[in-house]
Amino acid sequence: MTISSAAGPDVISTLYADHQPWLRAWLRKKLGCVDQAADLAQDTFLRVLSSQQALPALNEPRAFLTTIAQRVLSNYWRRQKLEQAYLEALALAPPQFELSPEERSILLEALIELDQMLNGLPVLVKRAFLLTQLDGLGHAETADLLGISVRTVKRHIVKAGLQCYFGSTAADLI
Amino acid sequence: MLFRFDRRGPYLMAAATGSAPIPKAVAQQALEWLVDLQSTPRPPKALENFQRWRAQHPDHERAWQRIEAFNGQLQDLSSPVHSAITHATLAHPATAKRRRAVKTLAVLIFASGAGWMVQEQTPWRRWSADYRTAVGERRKVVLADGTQVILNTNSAVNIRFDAERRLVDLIAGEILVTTAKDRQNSPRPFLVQTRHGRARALGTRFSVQQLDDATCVKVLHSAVEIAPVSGSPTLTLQAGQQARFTASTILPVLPVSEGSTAWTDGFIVVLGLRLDDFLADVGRYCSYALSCDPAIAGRRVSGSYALADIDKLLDTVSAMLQLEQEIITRFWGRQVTGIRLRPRSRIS
Repeated sequence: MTISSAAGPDVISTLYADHQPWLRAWLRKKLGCVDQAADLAQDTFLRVLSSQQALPALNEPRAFLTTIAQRVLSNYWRRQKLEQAYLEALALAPPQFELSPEERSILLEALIELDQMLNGLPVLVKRAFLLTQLDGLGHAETADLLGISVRTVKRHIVKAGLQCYFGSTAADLI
Repeated sequence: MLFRFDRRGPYLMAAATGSAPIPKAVAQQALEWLVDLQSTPRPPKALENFQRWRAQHPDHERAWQRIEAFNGQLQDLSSPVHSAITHATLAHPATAKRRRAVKTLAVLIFASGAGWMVQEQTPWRRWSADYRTAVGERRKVVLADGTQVILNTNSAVNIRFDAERRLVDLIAGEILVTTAKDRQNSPRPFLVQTRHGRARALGTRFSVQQLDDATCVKVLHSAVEIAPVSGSPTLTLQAGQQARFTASTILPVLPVSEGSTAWTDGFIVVLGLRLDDFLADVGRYCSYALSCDPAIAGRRVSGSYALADIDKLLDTVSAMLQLEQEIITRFWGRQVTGIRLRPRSRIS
């Protein structure tokens, strides 16, 4: 990744020097872990650096950093939650379907990506989309399974498709 | 390693990057076509009308291609186990519901996909085997009677010794056996069992490889008797001979080629082998499929190559034969599923 920023390097290094320790402390309070806080503080500054947008006039640098850090945090928690769900799902899969460790990790990466693309859609919309497009179920079968009408299934496919096929995949970029 | 992340770095979906945005109205239309085409029964003339729409404007074509590309990628997750886990992970926030989803889907899978069970069985047997190796791995095992077994890449065996016999059940892959003299009062026969039949050791050193449609036995010292499961006549192979047999037939006996046990030292040694056969053999040592353009399948490969570095092996062979490598990926480019050799394009 090439890092270019509309803000000059000086602005950023000042921002870093003045507020990085504060940000780390702020993140530590949220996370309860020093190492995680340091990592996420780093991620936050990386986002600032790689942003193509001009930095706002930084009268309130901490408010600005907090906004970005909030996004980094919510992404982090989202990923944690997904990993948790994933591990539970793996544990519940029938034993003859055991996956190798490598397959597990690659599947998780694919799921994180897919999850981002489906981000924000209601669960029923996601399920209708996955059942029809991933599993190749018919509209009627899907409707039965989800307890909704065929018409609604079709609407859900269009809705999920607009976001998945045509929406931005890089959600949450600043 | 079953998967590789590193070969050409992560890819992003073409649909998500680069090309100009598609107008929302066109996206909406494309999705309505998708829904129509997936409907049963399909609306009358849907296909003709769809094709006309698709040809009408480049944006229409682009929108459709984006859907196809994405759904193509989605297919990578469509095996029953992947699909069940995908649903459970992405679409079920509550644990109790998630548990039910995995169970329901497992039932659906058992009910609808009998074909899948067959495919999933073998890996499971392999995972629970007494001894196994991963792709690219080798392992030496000494059995209770002193017999030495070397497992080649991606292989699995169960050891079934009893009062009557010493049986090695070869579930998958290839082994090289160096038998020891049985020290029991009445020496027990040493047998290797595959899907296709049995090989009975009459002496010391031989290899057995289970292929999809046949078993291949190579004898290096003394002799081995082979017997297909069907009970058709047995055949005794002498040192320096090899033969393949299916469940019903033994194919013609051939000489064992030099270097056929080089794998035990981590090498593959070939002399004038067809490129397609060479790639099929090397493919056993890596997690992705190797193939080549039919036009060059008959080109000959000679030499000795280290199996520990398949990338280097492919680079060497490509350079020697003036070929280029095409990388085939899935899971949004994260996993390399194949490498295809083809003639170098004129412009490069």
